[in-house]
Amino acid sequence: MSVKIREGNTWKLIANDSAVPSNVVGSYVHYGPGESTERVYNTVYANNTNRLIQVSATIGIDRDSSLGSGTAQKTLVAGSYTRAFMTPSSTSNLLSNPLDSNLNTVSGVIEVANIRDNGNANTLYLFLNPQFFVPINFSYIIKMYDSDDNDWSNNTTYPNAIETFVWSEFRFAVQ
Amino acid sequence: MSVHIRQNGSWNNITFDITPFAVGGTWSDETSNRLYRDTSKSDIEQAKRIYTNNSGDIMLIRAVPGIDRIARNLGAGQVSGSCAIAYVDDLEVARFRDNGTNSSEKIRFELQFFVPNYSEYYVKVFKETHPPSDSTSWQGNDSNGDPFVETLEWYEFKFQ
Repeated sequence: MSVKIREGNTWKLIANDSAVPSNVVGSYVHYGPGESTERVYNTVYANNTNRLIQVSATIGIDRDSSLGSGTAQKTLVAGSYTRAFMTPSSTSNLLSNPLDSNLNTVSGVIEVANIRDNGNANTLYLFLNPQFFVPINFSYIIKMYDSDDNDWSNNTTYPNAIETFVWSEFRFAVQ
Repeated sequence: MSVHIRQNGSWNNITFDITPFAVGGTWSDETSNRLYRDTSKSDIEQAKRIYTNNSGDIMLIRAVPGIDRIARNLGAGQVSGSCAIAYVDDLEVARFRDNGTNSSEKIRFELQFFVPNYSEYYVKVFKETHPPSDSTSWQGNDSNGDPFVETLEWYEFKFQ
């Protein structure tokens, strides 16, 4: 829809169709394995675009390949869960340690996803797909915890257990 | 949205029939019109199960395929651990695994994902496996001719 003003005896265009948004649009950017830029859990990312984004990441564990099939490994995987957090980018330092000793978010941190694997100990593959919106100039992180609430990033026995299966971000715009 | 111009030290409203911009949308029930992509079907039948967003706007899809284990006469171990994956333009954008125990009689996978205008989208359902491949996807029908995977719900939200 164009916008015009009358000047003298002439209509002048002051805004063309593209300047007056009327539609919500969007597109995907992929950061999964094999992409030129890959994203992983336990890392802070910032929405530096000028758009609202929606993050959809599938992270998890290929148990037998990464850990083994023993009882201890089964117990470790079953009941694991993911939590996602965000802050304004100006306070993104809070995301390095978003929880207090009671597993509650510290002041200034917003929790935006909390998904647990409810499977039994026979779970071969852990797939968790947190989805959340990230406003402009906010930073975010996806964390993983085992069934005993231990941070998977601190697991020295299986430091590479957590994989990114898929990571996509949907960028909104208006036109 | 109003439009103003500066005139002699004051702002004058020159808005005439300018539609205010706001995000709106509508849900439509597509449950009876959508099927998961069964890779055992012919190319033509599979193509029918690849859908295109021609609405002119982005859409949010809420698709819930599922399996009735008892009705399909399947064993507990055959169903447990299955997952559904949503694809947009052939790239995965959402995954939902059945986290239930072996005792689950009915499993359902709720996928939610956005689809840009003109993009194609479809859903596949896989048995417990990694990485997912067509050879390990849920395919075909049971001995009674009923498909293993049903569309329990499929709603589409069109933004306006």
